Amino acid sequence: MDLSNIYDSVINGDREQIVQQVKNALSEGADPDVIISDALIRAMDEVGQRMKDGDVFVPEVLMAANTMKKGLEVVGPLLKGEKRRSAGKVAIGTVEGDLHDIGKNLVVMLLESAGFEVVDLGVDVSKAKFLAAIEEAQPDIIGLSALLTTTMTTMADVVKAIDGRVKTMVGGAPVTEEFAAKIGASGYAPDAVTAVDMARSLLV
Amino acid sequence: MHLSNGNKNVEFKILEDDQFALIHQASLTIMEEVGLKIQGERTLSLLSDHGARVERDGLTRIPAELVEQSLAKVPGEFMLYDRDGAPALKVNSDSIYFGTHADQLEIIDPFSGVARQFLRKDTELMARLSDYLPNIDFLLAVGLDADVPAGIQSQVTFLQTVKHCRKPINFSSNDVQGLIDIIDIASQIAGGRKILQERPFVFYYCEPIPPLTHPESSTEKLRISAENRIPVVYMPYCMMGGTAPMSFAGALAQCNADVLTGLVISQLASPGAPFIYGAMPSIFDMRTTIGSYGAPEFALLVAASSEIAHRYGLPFYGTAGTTDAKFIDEQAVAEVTMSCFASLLSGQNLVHDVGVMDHCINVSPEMVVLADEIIEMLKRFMQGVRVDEQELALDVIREVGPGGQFLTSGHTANNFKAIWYPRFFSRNMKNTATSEVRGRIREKIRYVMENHQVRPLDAVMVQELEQRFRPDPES
Repeated sequence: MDLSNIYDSVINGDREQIVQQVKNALSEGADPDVIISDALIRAMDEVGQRMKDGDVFVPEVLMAANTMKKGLEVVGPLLKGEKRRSAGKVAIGTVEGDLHDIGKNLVVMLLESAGFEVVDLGVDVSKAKFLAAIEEAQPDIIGLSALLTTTMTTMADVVKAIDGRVKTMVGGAPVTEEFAAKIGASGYAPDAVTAVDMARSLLV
Repeated sequence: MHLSNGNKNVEFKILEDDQFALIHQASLTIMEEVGLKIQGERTLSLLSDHGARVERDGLTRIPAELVEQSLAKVPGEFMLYDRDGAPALKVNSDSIYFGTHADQLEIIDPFSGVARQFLRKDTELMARLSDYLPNIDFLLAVGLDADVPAGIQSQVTFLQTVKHCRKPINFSSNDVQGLIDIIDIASQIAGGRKILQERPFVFYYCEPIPPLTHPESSTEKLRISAENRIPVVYMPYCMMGGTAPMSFAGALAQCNADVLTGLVISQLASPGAPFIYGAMPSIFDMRTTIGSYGAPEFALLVAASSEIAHRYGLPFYGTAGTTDAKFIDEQAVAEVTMSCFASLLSGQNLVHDVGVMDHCINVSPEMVVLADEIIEMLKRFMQGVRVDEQELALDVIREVGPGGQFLTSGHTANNFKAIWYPRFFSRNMKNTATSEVRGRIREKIRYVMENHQVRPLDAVMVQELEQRFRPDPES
């Protein structure tokens, strides 16, 4: 069945059309799983690739993700059996003492666009709160973000306390690959786009 | 003493009066209706005591009257002194001063060309270079040494800076304790707190978190600076499409609201406290997600912000001599030149970040030297053209006559030295096979390191201060 109109709507970030298009496809007998995998996810994968190639910009990626989300809302409840498998679960926050979050927010949005389930712990997140998140949310990865050099030292404490129970990823303007290695983090990414790839590679 | 260290005799304008009025009005609307998220009990009490509406979560609405009162109280001019107590910078909305960094996250080693972590020892080079260069007027001490523990980074950098540079220091600190400690250190060096307050050789830097968020550390820093009469820069750095609206006027209005909020806080804490208006609206590169330090829109909006500050009669803390490139290449020189030119054209008063590269990750001593040359060149452009009887030189033209020559004229002999002669750029008739500019720059850095020192501070005092702010043996 031709689902290219749904695929195109996601690519173009056309939030107006997608709901009706998905409803039409379903009423014409399309398989919900196929809509998700062949139209929605495949379109987001294409958007992700185009972003890496520098052909598509962050706001366009976010609009595409938003569009896909709207499509998922229609078709999701109709899935038989288990919910759509996510790419993984990430709990992420800006570390204690730091209130900067635009970078972290971008990572959250791009991870969600890529099919991750994300728990956003917010800003000024203490070690205790990160550890509690492991218990409550059971994430595959804990992400730590910082802008201030002073708050980077708390990253070392948190990573140490997590002690390998889940994977850890660190990032932020003053954070470097060397620093990440020094504190024993599982992964490091210099920006939100590569953060998605890093998260994927950690869960392979 | 450099009273202004330059002239501005070339007209330039980005914002018309009616445009400024609309931006100003929009900022007041943001402050009065949208509100700011402000933290810090003392600041919130001050604000609510003076007519601001403060909600339980700290959301604060500031009425236009408070802004107007603050603008009426804040001084339009103040003096900065050098480390040894002599007048150095007359800061107002006509000043022209540039500053570089005493420390950064990384440094481009001037002799190897390699980028590496900035270490405590590197501040000496930056400080001595800054003390030497004629177009560097002040120096930023932040606290980013990789080999110094976070709790004392700002204090250590300040000490290293003041040991090797006499020029005014624009310091910031990791936390409020750092501010308190450095005021203490500076007071000792000045010969007492009262002397420091009367003849400050330091000024402070702190910032909000756009959009419209003023955390406790920021408001406390403002309050303490104001109470201690240490001149303070309050500067929002925002990225359009990320932490500011995706439009120039919107970003300017939001930044303006954030700065004016800082102004109100400082004037409530201590009426008449010296305050410097800073703003750095830039772009969020939507392909690479960096906050750009080299974009034309960045230079444009910083320049426009300068015009806004001047409308309020306030000195403006600008940004120039920066680039997104990591090393000195074609891009770096283009971006540095553009922003230096923009800063001079828009009359920015205290221009910081000269020589800062890799979108604010490193500082390059070579770029600082190169920028010193570029700034000097551009200042000469800014002198403009004087037209009077002497300049028109009709009598000389008459004397030389058609087909004559001016080389031997007395008028030429008297005036030819007014032209700028580069120190590093080449003007050879027959140019060499390879460029010599970089070599001259490195030569100059070597010269400064071998020959240029400042009078040492009292050794006992320095030793005592370094003892006080040394890493714990265990750390």
